[in-house]
Amino acid sequence: MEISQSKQDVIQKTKQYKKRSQILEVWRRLKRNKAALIGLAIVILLFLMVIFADVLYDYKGVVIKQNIPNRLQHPSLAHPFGTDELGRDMLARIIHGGRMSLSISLVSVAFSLLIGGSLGAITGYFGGRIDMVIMRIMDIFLAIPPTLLAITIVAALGPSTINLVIALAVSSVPTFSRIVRGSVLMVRDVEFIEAAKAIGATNRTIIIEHILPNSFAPVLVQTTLSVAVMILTTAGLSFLGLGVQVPTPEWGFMLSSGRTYIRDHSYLTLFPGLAIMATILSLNLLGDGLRDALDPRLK
Amino acid sequence: MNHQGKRLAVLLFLLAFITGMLTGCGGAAATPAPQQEAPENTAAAVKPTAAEAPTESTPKKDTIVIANADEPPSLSPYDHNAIYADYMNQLTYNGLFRLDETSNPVPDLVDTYENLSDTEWLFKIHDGVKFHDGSTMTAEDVKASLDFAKTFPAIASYTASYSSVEVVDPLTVKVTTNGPSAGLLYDLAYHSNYIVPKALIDSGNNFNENPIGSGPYKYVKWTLGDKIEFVKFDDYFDKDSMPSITNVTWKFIPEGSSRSIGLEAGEIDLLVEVDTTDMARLKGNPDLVVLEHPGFTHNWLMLNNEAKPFDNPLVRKAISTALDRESIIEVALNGLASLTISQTPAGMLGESEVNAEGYNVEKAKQYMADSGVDPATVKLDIICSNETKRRAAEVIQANLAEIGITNVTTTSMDLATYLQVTGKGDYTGAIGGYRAFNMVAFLQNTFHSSAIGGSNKTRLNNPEVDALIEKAAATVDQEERAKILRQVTELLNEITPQAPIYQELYIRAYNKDLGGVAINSAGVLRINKLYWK
Amino acid sequence: MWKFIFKRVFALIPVIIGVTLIVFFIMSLSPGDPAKMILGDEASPEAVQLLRQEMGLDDPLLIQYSRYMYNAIQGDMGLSYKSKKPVTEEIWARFPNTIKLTLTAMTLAVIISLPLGIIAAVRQNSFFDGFSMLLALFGVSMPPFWFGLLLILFFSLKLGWFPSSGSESLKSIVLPSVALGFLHMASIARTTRSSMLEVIRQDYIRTARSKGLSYSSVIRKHALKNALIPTITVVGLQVGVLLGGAVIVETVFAWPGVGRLMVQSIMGRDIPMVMGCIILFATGFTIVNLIVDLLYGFIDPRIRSMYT
Repeated sequence: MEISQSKQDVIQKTKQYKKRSQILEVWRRLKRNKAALIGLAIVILLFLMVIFADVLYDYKGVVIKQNIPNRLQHPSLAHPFGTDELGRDMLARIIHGGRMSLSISLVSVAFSLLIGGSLGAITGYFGGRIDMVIMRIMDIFLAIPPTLLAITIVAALGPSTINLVIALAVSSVPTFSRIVRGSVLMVRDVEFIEAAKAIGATNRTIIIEHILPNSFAPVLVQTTLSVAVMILTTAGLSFLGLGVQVPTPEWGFMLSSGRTYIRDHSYLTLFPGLAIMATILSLNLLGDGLRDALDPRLK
Repeated sequence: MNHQGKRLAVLLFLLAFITGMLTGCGGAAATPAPQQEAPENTAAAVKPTAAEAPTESTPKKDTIVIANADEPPSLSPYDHNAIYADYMNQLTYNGLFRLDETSNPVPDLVDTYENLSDTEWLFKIHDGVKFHDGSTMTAEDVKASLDFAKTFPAIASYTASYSSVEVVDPLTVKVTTNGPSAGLLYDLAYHSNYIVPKALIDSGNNFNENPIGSGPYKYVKWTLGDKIEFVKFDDYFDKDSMPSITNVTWKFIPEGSSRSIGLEAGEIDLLVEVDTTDMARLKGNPDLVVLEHPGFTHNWLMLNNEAKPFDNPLVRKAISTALDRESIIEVALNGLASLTISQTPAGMLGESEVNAEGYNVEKAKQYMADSGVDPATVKLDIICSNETKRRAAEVIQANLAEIGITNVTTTSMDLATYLQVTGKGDYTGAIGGYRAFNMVAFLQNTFHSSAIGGSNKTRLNNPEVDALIEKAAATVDQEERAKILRQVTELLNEITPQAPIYQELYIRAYNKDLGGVAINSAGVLRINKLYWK
Repeated sequence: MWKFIFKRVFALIPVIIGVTLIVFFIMSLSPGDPAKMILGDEASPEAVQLLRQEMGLDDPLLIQYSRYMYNAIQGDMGLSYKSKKPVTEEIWARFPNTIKLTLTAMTLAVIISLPLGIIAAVRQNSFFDGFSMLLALFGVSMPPFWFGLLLILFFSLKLGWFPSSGSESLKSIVLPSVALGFLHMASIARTTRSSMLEVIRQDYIRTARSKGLSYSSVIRKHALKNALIPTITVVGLQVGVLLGGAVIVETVFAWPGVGRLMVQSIMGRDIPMVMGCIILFATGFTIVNLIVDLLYGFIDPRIRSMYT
């Protein structure tokens, strides 16, 4: 007992040490990739903007405040991004819209990661019948193109922010479960897991402490890319009239509802479009960079 | 390190390039120009494209390409209620009557007619009317068609006015109505009562796939999801209205901007549905003509009169007077609609603005105070089933906040859900509209208690209103009927079941070389009258 | 080999049944009454109720579903609620268009992004590497309806090169397939690049180089073939994304495809039509992935041996 206790301590310490050095190593490699750094910088900037949105512009007093005589103003000093069809300041709406867009994507990714990830971990680790049943169910979901699945779910539940999140989350659960399952399968039978088993670790601790950290890399990459995909899908759903409800600003919705003005008031689509582009581009650059940095084969 | 620097340069270059392209093609025409000048400016930019269009080179065109947003559910006249399907029906079928430029019924297949008594009408059709299958129309076909139409529930409200049809001689039918009917001739002009060959009804012909009628154009081909093609019917009975253009191609383009661009680029000759945002530009284009006509479609903020506190007429009046209709029309339709404060459509027999009130915040606050309802407790959810309605609802949200009703939400719904919840009365508010060809039909379908569960969505159940509508429906004399209809309108304005907002404009935009384009308030467009100049 | 194909096709059946089950229940439980939608605004509640009974909409869901499946297995996919035409007829009329669009878009994406990925890998960290990767990302970062509208504004209206809508001429496929194809360049180019990088570092490539073969011929003869395996997987998986994107692109360009039909049918609660479309999509998507698996065999003999 005592021996095994001290052994576990050693394992624990080595692991912590290894973890720290791994993170440093990844950061060192990421630093070399300028594109990824730019991506990271933009992402951080976006998050700061979104977090401090209320400081920058008041929601009630500016973001949703209508001023109809002042509608459809081209960009000027007073309104750097112009005003929309209800005379609301576009810059303020873009900043607050980012909050909505990013939260929708992040929350839905978090949900699908949680559900898909745990399903993947369980099935990958235990294998056998559970694996069979759950993966067959996942196959069914995988057979429906994700956008179409999301459209069907939102149309069925009725368009609202919550239903949008549900649809987005459900449609990417299979992807996450596949990824986690795959990486669990890869490490399931390697030596240190067997060692852990040998010293009497429970299934739960093995999954949480050993296996999940190992699927961290692919999951992180997929998460960054998924956030981008979700933003794009939200925009597509808005285009089909299945987006958020007014007066909440959201990029995809703004882009979609500004499209009727695309020719005389192109700034109504240009700025939300650029915001979406910048976000997706930077998330992709960051994701690609992370993938390279996390891949031990590409040292 | 050097590579990295280059990579960074590329990134910046590319971003600059992309931004350039986006602003370049998205806004080049409009960016520097102030709002009012935009149309001229854009039109000038568009001009060279129109000149390049291949259509200019051909000397005489024998084809017209028309476009609208939605594909018709059916080419049969009997099993739908969609205005855009009626466009197709008008090409291949005729009714006994049709609506003229002022939206009054005039004889079409009918040659002469006679009102025998309050409930009996004698219709004599033209001799020698040919169907597309070569057969000649007789009174038997008329009877069979009208009897057939009565079996379709979707169009039941347009077949309810007549009870029986009898063949008097090979060219004459006698139609008996359920009591005196003011709406019969209007109903007979509606697509649900178009005439088809009896033989085809008997043989179980699918009129959706094989739309045989007597209309000016014959059906050729339906490319599902794309277009329907028609060709001129050489034996058309009405020689004065013989089509001048041989081929008609009707395309379905859901996206509004794509439609306008198609017209500007010369791919399309005539648009029957135009996005109001594109109007200014289309009007400024010297190669195009834009026609506007006030339509009968009456739009409003529907309120469920059974739901609290909207059962209180003072609350409804407060809401109605709080609406800044001008702003709503400006935002939702770019100003292209006629403002309305009356419960019934302008332009129809029996219109009136007596007892109707427009935008007045002070008055709205007073009504609210008089109602005894605390505006902070009012909860209104406005259902919108399309983009225009959503924009309108957004302005209404702000308008109602002015009188203290701050708890106003909006819900976007697809048409299917909208129809179900509003039909069942499972809602508080919605932006809705109704199109009818005459006042009696309008009133019966929107305010008569028998239409509750159907199109009476406010669920108004007022015996006085019901009685007046029934009286008007049974009054054949026009002047007498007008008096009663005005009475109903004024009573409804007093009750304010819902808050009227606007009446849509019918818009047609077309190639300037196209002649003979005319529309009426019912949206009827006679393609056989069009010609290339 | 045949045994493998047979097994895989057989495994498709429960997946398709599962898909129909899920979609049928989602559609049936959603608000919006198909009968009311057919009859329209003015129809009385009685008429709606009568039609509901006629259509069997009041039966328990499981019975409705079994009835649907029973007919479907016999090849009867039912009539569209909206057009009253056979679902199969409506779908087959549009299916070739969707195939045309997705194939052209995919080909376009592959033709552009494959060389981008290869050259990016061969010239890792060069100007071209950065340029090509960004170019590939450009497509994926723009919502397709916006990109589509910009294409129309520029190429149909300003330059007058291509029609803005429809499907008559060969020219009309250009813009929709560019709008759709651009969406997929990123993932293909990215995968090609990273798998090329991986392969280039392998020993056998070094050996080939040391034998005196030129760099380009090594890349052509040895590296490319192996690097293509992950690319093919991605192309296969992207078919699903492509079908999703097609829904939007088809709407913008009024392209008469199945994607738009499906969205319209979802909105109109046209359940038989939605079911028909989803069965087609799911089957098509699964078959494409099966083909992808088989293609591995042709490219990689090691995998081929696993099938036998």
